[in-house]
Amino acid sequence: MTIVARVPQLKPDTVILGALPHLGLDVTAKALSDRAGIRWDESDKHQPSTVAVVQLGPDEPVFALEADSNQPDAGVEVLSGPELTDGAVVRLLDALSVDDEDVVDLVTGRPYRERDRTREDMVLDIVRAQPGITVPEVADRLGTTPGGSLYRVVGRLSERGVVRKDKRELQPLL
Amino acid sequence: MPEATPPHYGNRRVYGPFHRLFSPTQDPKAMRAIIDAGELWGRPRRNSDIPEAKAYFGELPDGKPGFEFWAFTRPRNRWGRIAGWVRREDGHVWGTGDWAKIAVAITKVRQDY
Repeated sequence: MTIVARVPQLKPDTVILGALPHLGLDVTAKALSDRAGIRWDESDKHQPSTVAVVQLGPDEPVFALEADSNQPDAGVEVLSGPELTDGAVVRLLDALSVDDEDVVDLVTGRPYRERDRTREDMVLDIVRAQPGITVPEVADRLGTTPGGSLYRVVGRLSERGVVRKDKRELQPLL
Repeated sequence: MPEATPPHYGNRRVYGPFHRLFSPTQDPKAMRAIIDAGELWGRPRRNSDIPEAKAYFGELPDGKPGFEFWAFTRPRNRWGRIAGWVRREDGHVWGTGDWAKIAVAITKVRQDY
């Protein structure tokens, strides 16, 4: 039996000030239930939709996940307020066990992965500021968990020749 | 006999197609209002306070009741299952209260109105 970590959820009618759809996840609502224990609410007086409202912690932004009752096999859209940061998105994707490659910026239509350079820059800044830091320590600084996606970011920095992984320690090369 | 003057046609850029499906809020009365006004109206999503006119991207699916249209202004998003228009200062998306409105050209209606 698979045990999934529950993502903290708020009431489905929670209103997020200034919220608009920002990200599209190429995963179904059911997949998010399986991966992250998301519980969905169906009722809506304005339009048929399936929603879940999540907040990873008291200082974290609130996200509304919106699926389409008419299209259960379609993806899920993520609504958030205007103060969305890359760090908050990374933490949300990690909590939902969603890979960067399954995420699209709805406004531009471009893969979110292309924005990953921002995340690479964040990691590089941390490594430059603290040579010898480990991936779990970087994750701690980013407020996320040292999951596979963070190791992939470190791998890309290594490929770019700007960071070297010396056993567990990360060293800046540029 | 005077020489005929060639007709002059105006043109506008359009975006689409988009469609809405028949639903409890997209009933014959709402459909009639959209046709009469040539406007698409929308209210905030369930978890938002931002008025937004919404419609599905693409043509009205075969056999589904609803209507199809083209918009005279682009939605805020290029991707996703739902196109959304929120009020803008350029006046192309307007509205009062919790409504957002855009001008549309309806090209297909497959529901009562």
